Formats: sequence, structure tokens, C-alpha cells
Amino acid sequence: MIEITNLSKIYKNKKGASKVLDGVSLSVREGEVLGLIGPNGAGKTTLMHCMLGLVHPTSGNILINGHVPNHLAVKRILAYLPERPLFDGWMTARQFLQYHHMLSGGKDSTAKDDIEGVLDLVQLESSARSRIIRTFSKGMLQRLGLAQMLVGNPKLCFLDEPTSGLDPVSRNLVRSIIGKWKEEGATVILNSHHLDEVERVCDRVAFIQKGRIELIERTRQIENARVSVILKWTGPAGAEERLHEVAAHALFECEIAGPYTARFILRTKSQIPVLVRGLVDAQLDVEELFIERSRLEELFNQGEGKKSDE
Amino acid sequence: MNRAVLRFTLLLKLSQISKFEWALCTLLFLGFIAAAAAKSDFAPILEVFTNPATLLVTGYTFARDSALNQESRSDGEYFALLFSRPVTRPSYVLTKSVVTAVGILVTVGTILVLMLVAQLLMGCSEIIFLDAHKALSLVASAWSFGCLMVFLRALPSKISNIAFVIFIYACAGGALLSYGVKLNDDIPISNPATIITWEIMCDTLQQFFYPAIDTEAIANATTFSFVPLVSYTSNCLLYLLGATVLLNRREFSYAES
Repeated sequence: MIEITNLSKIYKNKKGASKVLDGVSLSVREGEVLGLIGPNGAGKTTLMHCMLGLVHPTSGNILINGHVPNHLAVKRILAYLPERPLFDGWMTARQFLQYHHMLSGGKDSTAKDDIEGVLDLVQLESSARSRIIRTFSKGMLQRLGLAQMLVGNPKLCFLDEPTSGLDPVSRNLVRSIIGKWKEEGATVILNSHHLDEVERVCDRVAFIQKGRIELIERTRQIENARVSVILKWTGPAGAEERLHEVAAHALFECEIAGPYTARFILRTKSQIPVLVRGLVDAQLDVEELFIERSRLEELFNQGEGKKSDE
Repeated sequence: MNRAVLRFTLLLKLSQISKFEWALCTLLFLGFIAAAAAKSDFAPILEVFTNPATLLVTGYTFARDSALNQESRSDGEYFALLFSRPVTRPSYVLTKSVVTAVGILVTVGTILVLMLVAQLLMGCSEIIFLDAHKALSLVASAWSFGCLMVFLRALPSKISNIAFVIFIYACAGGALLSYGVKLNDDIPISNPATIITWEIMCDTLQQFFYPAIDTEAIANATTFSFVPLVSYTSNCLLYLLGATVLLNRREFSYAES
């Protein structure tokens, strides 16, 4: 679906030139959900904007279904949710969606039903639907942004930080909409700082740093990666021995990380239930049990570490 | 041309009509009533409001558009959303030119209708209004000035402002010259170099880039000439092409800044 070959982008201004993308090559299959993660200024948004045809690459190629990103055949199937939604403040939500319905080439005869349908789907309250956008809160704007994506019935969706600044209910809504697209076979490119979200909804994750793709991993691979779990307990005395027994029985690594604190290294995330069962059987008074750091967080921290070394 | 952009830009322009514009219309109407009561000649007033310089100024206000403005960075994300839709940049430029032309026509048309109503109300014996040729010229000029203004708005602001002043100068100059005003006789410009530069500039613009057409002159000419038609069409195309090239160069991303 998307083929990116050796893509580079250099921004030039009075202060000099800055290379934002540096030889990025990537391919995305149809129906795949790809997450783009990386520190701020890594080039994620620029990469997304190159794929949208909004930014002209300095060198390299992007082909979407065999066409350049600015081809009308591409624009007809894509939808985009910007990170900073700047919508027409003077319009009402319904007018705004009617505008995007027209822009995406929707039929006038179906406009009303389509618009009410997507407004229901994003759960925008009825009283807000005829209100002017200028009065909307951040959460409502994000819901409206999702609604404008949905009006065109897209096959290729780009979401730039779709959940930043949203409450948990709205975040769940975003996830469920991405899930809906996934079920319908749409291709989704998601740029997010919420690593748990990326891990949950994406098929693959590309880690970008300094304009380069450092790593691409399948989320299944991430699921299967080693997981560090921290346990805090309050009793009984001599629990350390029992913990080592639990670990030895299930072939985990276990180390005592401090008073009433232990770290288990599991081979995969799927071993967590085994650990919990073991702890219950060992009759420990568990105070807290949590995953210390996910694989994506590790990647992130490695990136940040490299950055500070320099 | 994009139907959605056209419809919603016109809606936006309508929503932007302020009390100031309404007050201005009322003042103009009262002025026309006073002029009609004083049995003033409306021919020069008609000339002023259909003058290319007036159309140019009107068009300049209507052609204001952040997508075309090369230096505008604040609303990159807004246009990123728009241009992620199946909207081609040439169609966007064309639509904005149509919006500008409609804006010019509506503004000038409103003023002329107010002038007509004032004359009718005051029972003027000789009603001064557009004849068919002038009306056609006005429509043609509104379109070409729409194209020109969209092109000027797409230029970097410094160049755009200078070009706008030169065009105003040439258009007003053209109007003065058409009244038989001789520069060195009637306008006190003492420096010959200034006069020569001024004349060269006006001549060049009027010969090559002047975006208006005089349909009356074409109709009344003894031999038909394609030159004004070709010049008019090619100029409009040139402005549209220029604006499209400039818009194509723009990148819509906050990452750019």
C-alpha cells in the first residue's frame, strides 16, 4: 500500500539547514496499523506529512497504491487528523462535517444521514452539534476531528497524536474507532506518545530518531519480549524464599530489589498470569504488582539516553 | 473549481460582513440621495466605481487568504487538513479567483444599485447606469482582477505590496489618461525621470499585463482585432498559473516552522 524509499527532508531557513528525515525506507501493507514513535523532533510528523503530500521531500520516493501522495486517487481514500486541530471556528459542527463530506466527494443525498451517523459514532452530544466550533473544548474538537475523518469512509487513515490531552473515555473512543477501521481493513498510520496505546492497537511499531527509522518491530514481538515485573508485599516474614520458589517453579528470574520489593524477569507478557497464580499459591500479602518498563519504553529510553550522551 | 471550497468561502465572506460595511453602504446611499437632489452628474461617480483601481482595491480585500500567503505559518495545520482532501491546488486557486470576482461584483453591484435607487427615488430625469457594454466589461474585469489579486496575494508580502501599488498606480493612471489628463501639464511632477519611469511602467502594464478589457471599444472598432481578447485571456491564465506555481511550492506543516 505505502512504499517509502530513501526519503530525506531538509528544511532550510536563514539560520541554516536542518535534516529532519534522513534516508527513511518503509513499507506498509494494506490493512496494517503502523505506529510511529520517537522523541519530540524525531521527524514523525514530517514523515506523516510527506505521506500526505503536504511536505515536499528533498529526495526519495513515496508511492501509495502506486501513486504519488498528491494524486487524487490517493486523496480520495485518505483521511487525516492533525495533532493541533485548527478547524473553521465560525462553522457549526454539522456545517463543518458537511464541508468535509463535500470535500471528500460524498453525495449530497446521503450527507445528512452520513453526518448524523458519524456524530453518533464519536458520541458528540446533541446540544454541541449545532454549536459553533469556536466554543468547543479540546475533547470535543478531537471528537469532531475523528468525525471528519469518518465522513469520507477512508481506506487510509493518518492520526497525529490523536489522544493527547484527552480524558480516558475519549481515549477509549479513539481506540475503538481505530479498531473499527482495522476490522474494515483500512490502513492506519498512528503517531503517538502513548506507548501503551501504540502497543495495544498497532500491528507494527516504527521507532524514529533523528529522522531515521532505528527499529521496526511487530507488536507481537514486543508482546513476546522479556518483561520486568515489580512486586511489593507486606508479609509474611521470610517471603523471599517463597518468591524464589515461585520463580524457580515457573522458570522466571527473580531478584530482591529492596525491602519488601522484588523484580521478576518474565520471558513474555503472557507469563504474568502464571506469576500471579504462583503468588496467590504462595499466600503472599501482595501490596502492588506492576510492569516495570515495556519494550517500547525501553526503546524510548534508549533513544533519550543516546540523545543526552551527545 | 472546487464546489465545497467555493460554497463555504462565500459563506465565510458573508459571515464576515460587519456593521462597518453596513454603515458605509448607508452613508453612500445618503450621499447618492444628496447628489441626486442637487441634480449632480452621476457619470463621473459611475466611472469612479467601475474604475479598475476601485476593482483592484476591492479585489485585494476579497483575495486575502492564508493558504496563498507564503509567510503564513500559524494555520499550516488548517490547510494540511484541507489539502489532505481531494482538492487540487490549481482548483483551489481557481476557486479563490472566482470568490474574489464574485466579491468584486457584489460590492460594486451593490454600490451601483444604491446609486440607481437614489436616482429613481429623487426622480432624476436622466438615469445614469451601466449600459450592456459597461456591464460586460465590469464582469470581465471582475474576473481578471480576481485572478490578478489571487496571484498578488500568493507573492511574498513585500513583493505583493509593491506590485499592488504599481497596479493601482497604473490603473488610476490609465483612468486619468483616459480623461485626457496630461501628466506634465495637469499633474505637478517636475522630475522628468519620474515621469518617464511612471509612463514606462503604466505603458508596460497596460500593453502587456493589464487585466481589463474594453468590450465597447472592441464592438465599435471598424476592424475586429483578436489582440485585446488574446491579451486578456493570456493575462488571466498567467496570473492563475503564477498563483498555482506559488501555492504548489508551499508546504503545510507546523514542523516547517
